[in-house]
Amino acid sequence: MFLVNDFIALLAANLILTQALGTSTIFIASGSRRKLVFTALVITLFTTFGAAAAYAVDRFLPSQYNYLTLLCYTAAVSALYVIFLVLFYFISKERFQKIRRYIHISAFNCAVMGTLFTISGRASEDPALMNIGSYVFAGLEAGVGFVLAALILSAAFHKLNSAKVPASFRGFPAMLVYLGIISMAVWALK
Amino acid sequence: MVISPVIICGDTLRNAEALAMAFTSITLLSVLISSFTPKKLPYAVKIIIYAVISSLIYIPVRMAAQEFFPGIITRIGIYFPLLAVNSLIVVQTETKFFRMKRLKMIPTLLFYVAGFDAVILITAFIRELLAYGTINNRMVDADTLISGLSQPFGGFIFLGLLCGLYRALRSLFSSEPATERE
Repeated sequence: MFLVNDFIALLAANLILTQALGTSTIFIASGSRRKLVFTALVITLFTTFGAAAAYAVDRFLPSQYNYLTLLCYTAAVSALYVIFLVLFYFISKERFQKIRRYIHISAFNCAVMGTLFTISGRASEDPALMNIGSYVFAGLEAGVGFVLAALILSAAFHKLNSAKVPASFRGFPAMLVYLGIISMAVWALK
Repeated sequence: MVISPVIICGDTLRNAEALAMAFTSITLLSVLISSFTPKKLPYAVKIIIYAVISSLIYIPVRMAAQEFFPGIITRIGIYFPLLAVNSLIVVQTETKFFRMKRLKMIPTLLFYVAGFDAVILITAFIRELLAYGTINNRMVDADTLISGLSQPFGGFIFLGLLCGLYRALRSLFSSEPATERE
């Protein structure tokens, strides 16, 4: 029962299904199951480490300069982008050509930036969440939620793109309706 | 594609007007200024420069939006800054716009932006009418309300249906068949 409760909580906190964050990215990556899952995993890295950087920005940026938050988050994600590119290059030079595509797709998008702003918003409403542990955990949770949504989409990807679906609705429109139905189920769980 | 603001905030015409204004200014200015970035720079460096340029342009656009749409910016919340990291700026610039000559790029970009604005305004008009029974916050004589259209799932489903309908109409009036991917 504990696991079921956790699973429901994870679904209800899912940023794609409840806030539509990262929908564009998930569609760009939906060309193949492998690409979708790899993109989701790299996005998890960005949301987790990005959340730690967002904590530093929220902690040290004076409130009168809050219009600079986006710029600071962009700088933080840019730094992570470069770090991940360099890191993956040294981990495996042979696979770097393939891996770097996922890093390019995952760095600047609504999934990562939206997660950082959502975590920051929650922390400003509840000061108890204003600590690095809460930020990193929320970033990891958002990333896992993205992986979950990617798996849900990849399960139906081929059927939604098959000839059985009318040509006008094949692909993108069918995937939107499909995500809408899953989102409705999650909304009912909340 | 900039789907999330359309799905979440595109449920009233007032929100849609604020988003369309911000998207138009941020995207047009960011892509035009970014087009002067040296092409020889590594891909990752160029993407970072584009993201920083759009984040800088976001600052005066937000200030202007607070003057023109007081209250709406708070309601739109996190979706407002997300316009600055839209895929037209950070993805399509390199794959599409900057491969064109500037004279061809500008009208193409204008059509892309106008397309987004048209979609969010039409979607918001219909969703507001059917979900709340209002048009631009003015009550209209609507007998049946579908409150689910104001929810995220309503946005997903409605946008999907609208996209399919558009493709069907386009294939009716043109010789090309309905495409599988946009």
